[in-house]
Amino acid sequence: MLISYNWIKSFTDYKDKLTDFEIRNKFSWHSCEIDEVISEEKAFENMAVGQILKVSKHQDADSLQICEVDLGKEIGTHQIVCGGSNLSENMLVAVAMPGAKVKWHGEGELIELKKTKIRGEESFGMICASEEISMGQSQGKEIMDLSHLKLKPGTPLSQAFQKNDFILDIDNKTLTNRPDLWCAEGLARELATISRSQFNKLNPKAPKLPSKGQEVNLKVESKDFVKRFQTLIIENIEVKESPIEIQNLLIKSGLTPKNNIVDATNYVMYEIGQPMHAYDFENVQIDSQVNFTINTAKKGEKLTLLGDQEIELKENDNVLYVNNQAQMLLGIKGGLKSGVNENTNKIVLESAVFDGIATRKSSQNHHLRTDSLARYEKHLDPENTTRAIYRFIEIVKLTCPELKISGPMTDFYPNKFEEKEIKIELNKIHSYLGFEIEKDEILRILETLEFKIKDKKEYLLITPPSFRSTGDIEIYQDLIEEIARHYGYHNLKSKLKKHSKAGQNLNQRILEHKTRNFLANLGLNEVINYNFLNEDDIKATFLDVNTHLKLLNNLNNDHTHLRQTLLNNMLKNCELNHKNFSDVNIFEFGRTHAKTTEYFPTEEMKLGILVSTKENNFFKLKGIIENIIQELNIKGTRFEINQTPSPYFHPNKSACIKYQGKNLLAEIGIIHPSTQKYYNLDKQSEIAYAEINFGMLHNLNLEIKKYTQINNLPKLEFDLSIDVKDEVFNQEIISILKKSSKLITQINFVELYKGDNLEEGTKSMTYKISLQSDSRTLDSKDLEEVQKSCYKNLEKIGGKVRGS
Amino acid sequence: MENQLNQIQIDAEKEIKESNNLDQLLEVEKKFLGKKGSLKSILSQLKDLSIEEKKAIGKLSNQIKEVLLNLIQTQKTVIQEAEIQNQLQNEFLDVTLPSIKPTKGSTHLLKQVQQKLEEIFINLGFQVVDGPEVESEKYNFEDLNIPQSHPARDMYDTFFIDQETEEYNRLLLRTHTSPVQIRHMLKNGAPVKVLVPGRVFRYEESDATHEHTFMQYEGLYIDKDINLSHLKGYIEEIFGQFFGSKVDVRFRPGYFPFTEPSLEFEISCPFCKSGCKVCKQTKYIELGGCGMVHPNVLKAAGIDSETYQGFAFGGGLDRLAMLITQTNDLRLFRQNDIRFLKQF
Repeated sequence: MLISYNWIKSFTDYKDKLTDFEIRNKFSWHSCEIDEVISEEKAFENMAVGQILKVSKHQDADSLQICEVDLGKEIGTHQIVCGGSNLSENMLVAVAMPGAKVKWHGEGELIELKKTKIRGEESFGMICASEEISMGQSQGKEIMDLSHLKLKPGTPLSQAFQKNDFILDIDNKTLTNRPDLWCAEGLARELATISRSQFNKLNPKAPKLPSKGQEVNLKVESKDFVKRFQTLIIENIEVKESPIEIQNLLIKSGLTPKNNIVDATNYVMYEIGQPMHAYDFENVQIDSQVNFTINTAKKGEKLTLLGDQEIELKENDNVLYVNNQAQMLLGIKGGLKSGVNENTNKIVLESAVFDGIATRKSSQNHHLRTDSLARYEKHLDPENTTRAIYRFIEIVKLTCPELKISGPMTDFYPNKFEEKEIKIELNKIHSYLGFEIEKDEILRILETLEFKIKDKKEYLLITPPSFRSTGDIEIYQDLIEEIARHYGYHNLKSKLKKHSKAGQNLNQRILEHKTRNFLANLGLNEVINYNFLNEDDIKATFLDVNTHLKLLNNLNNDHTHLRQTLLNNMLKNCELNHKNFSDVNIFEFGRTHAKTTEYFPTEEMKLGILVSTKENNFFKLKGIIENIIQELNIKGTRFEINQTPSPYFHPNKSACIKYQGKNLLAEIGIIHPSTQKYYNLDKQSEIAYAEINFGMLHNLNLEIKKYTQINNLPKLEFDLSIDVKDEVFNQEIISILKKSSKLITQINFVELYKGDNLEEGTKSMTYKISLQSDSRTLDSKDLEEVQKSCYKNLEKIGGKVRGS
Repeated sequence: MENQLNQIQIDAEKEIKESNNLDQLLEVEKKFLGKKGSLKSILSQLKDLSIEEKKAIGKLSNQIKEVLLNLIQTQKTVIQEAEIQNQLQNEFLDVTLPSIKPTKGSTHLLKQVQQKLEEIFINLGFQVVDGPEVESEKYNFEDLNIPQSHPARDMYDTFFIDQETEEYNRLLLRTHTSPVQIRHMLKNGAPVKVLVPGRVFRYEESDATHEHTFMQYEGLYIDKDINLSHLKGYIEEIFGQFFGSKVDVRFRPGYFPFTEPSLEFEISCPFCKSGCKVCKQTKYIELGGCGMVHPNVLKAAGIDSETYQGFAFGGGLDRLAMLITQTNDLRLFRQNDIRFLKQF
């Protein structure tokens, strides 16, 4: 909201002259946030009224003239080169001196003037046209003639044009709960409290209302919606321009002045916060009778609003009907047909309060934001409507002194405002702030804010005014805020409390951080992706779209569902990074979601790891997983062939890790070739991916590992090669070898060989086997025995041991 | 014969001393002491001598042999030392050639910031707690004193999910970490002293300073006597530790439905004393919102608001990350370009 600071100040006796910076701080530190304070004066710095003493032709340029300009005693007389054609001696002009900022020919950015020479002649700034100093284009490109102002040369231009105001740009968000601050008077109340000055409430004179005459016949059907509805018929109106002061204030608030009637409604709204509407009597009467009905709209009904916008009404819109014709979207915008026009001589004035929530919903139906909606949706004070009508009449009388009120006021006000007392104990204020504020100061603040006070020594009984009883002030904590912010939060002294209990992180988070640091040390990069993906992504991983949570409102077509695996987005990361890196090894901790029959979906913490290098991706990743298990000391894990892999894995290249029985801790495998292709990664080697159900580890104890005795007795080793069918798993061979002798302490896989000299469908596997006893030194006899046992067992699975 | 032996000794000593490499020295040793060396060939003439003479000559030759062997050993050491000196003088390494690095990965900047915050809070006695990202309207709004159609709901543009019950209302993506307050208090009661870092969502288009997905942190401290002075103290302490230099806290009135009074907090710019690019020459940096927890929130969480009171404060973790790294585009955090990730 834009609003004039001088206007606000006029409701107080505050005299201090503040800079823009100080004004901003005053409001921001105590009241509402000000985005910007626009200083009118600043635009006219280094500009003054000058009087032309002499005009002569420039020797070197036909279009230029040399002026001798008197700029008053302090600045003196200077020579200025000027291209204007309407210059004459003794003329008063606007001079922009060196340091001033002007717009060349009224266009582009502001440019700072410097003392310069133009075609060899010195020029002390420039003589300005109106558009060059943003004073409008009324005088076009001609030099501005200020002679009529009859001012002394040297008078600052800001003074000449009376540009001494500041315009406050207030952050509307900070007024969310303060409908009373949406106007000059409300802001003045705050300013007076902050600056310890007097607040002068506006008190418009009540006009004499006739007891008989024309009045509106009002029928209210939507009773919950209308909190108060007042109308008054006024005649002898002449539609014309508003007084210039009123126009100026509206312009400062960013409005375009229309005519004295519309301007008066807007003026009252910006002055005391009450939106109003004026209907053209002729267009809402039938046989001199005005029949208003307020009701919810019928579906599909049409209404053309001011500004010639046609809307299709919805059933929860509240509309003013005149003889069954929708004429106004109440609380938001008036109809085109019933509005004031240049021939209007009689009006029906509406001053009302509607339900904030309903008004807001109605505005959302049509994506309409208006000044009146901004106020109505915050729940306005129903006690303010009468005052607004009185003020409207005062303002219109400035241009229509002959105006006449045609009849009594119509006033629908079903639930009259009732005052409520709030009890506040003085020690509560202390207990919330941590320091004491003197009682006198508390009373001063609350009184200036128009709270009624009953002082009961230990506590106060406070009655908030009606304009603060709109959901704003309800409990004593609200009063503490009033007192504290006006007194100033800068008075708070920092305090800490001793803590007797140590803080603690979540066990799962500790594991998570440990793992992420560990993985980073192994050379992987951590990524963070969105939770979102779309149906095509889901299909690319062969998962069921129906088990995915779907957003009701999405920002774009890529983000429509919540992920069930981290894979999709990590594959996108992979594609992105292969442009710059041949190896992409990344991991992510993230949550996945899936529908259940319950209200809340399942939410699981997953750790995804993706390895995409030239070769051996699966075994590189397997090593990483084994390292994690070792690093976190996860006991009771079993590496198994994955019988039912997730569908995004290659069905024959996937394994799983079981934890404490049948729990699936992780899946690891090669990505399904179609999935890999979908993410444009078909040129890469087969990518390996693992997803760990990290949440399953939340109870894992990160204790220090136990010591295992180091065996210093000598080791014996032998190599063993065996030819087996391709389908035989390494794990099978190892488990047979392990069972063959208790002396075997280590079995290292050396190589897998396939070649011409082997039978088709078979492979040769080589292992290095270590034997060690913890009680004696082994000899060749031991070695022979173990070898024999191994050979025998391996033959049972159809293996041919080489050299046996 | 004795003279011959002495002459051999003189010759040998000379040649040993003149040897300047190991091969030469070996040759000299062979020449005088080898199987076919001069000493051996002299001794082969012994057969013509008497037993006494044999004894005397044998003794002498052994003495000479010992002297020469010692001398050879000494010369060997001299030569080796000279060779090392020589090697050192002639060898050269271009130490400015590029290094051979072990592969180094990276943890995500946001997680580093989160970890740092967690450590600071833990040291001040806070427990870290967590809650779900998919949340109910009840916990995310209603219980936080933001009823249906409250104008403040505009402040929290929300992603909704097609799911609704009477008890919880609509299912949504949490717009802030505050619903975890409710969940934690319902379960554990008061007093409460927790930190909630977590991912939150807002239904708004992303640009350099806005994201629909971002991280928040939120501190909550409720006990019998917690007040705004403590709020100030803890914010100062936490961000002083976070930025590694003393900071001043400044408050402005704010509006949040779940706190009363509500404030916004700023800290003195930790990067300058007289204005810089980060603080836009204002010397202060806006960090977040705070206030005393609204009694309605305590009530919704089953806590007696006349016995217990306390503060909550929070802000954007992404913003902290942007500040300390002076990153100017929020979107970089979730683009996952390794060229960005590995910088931290």
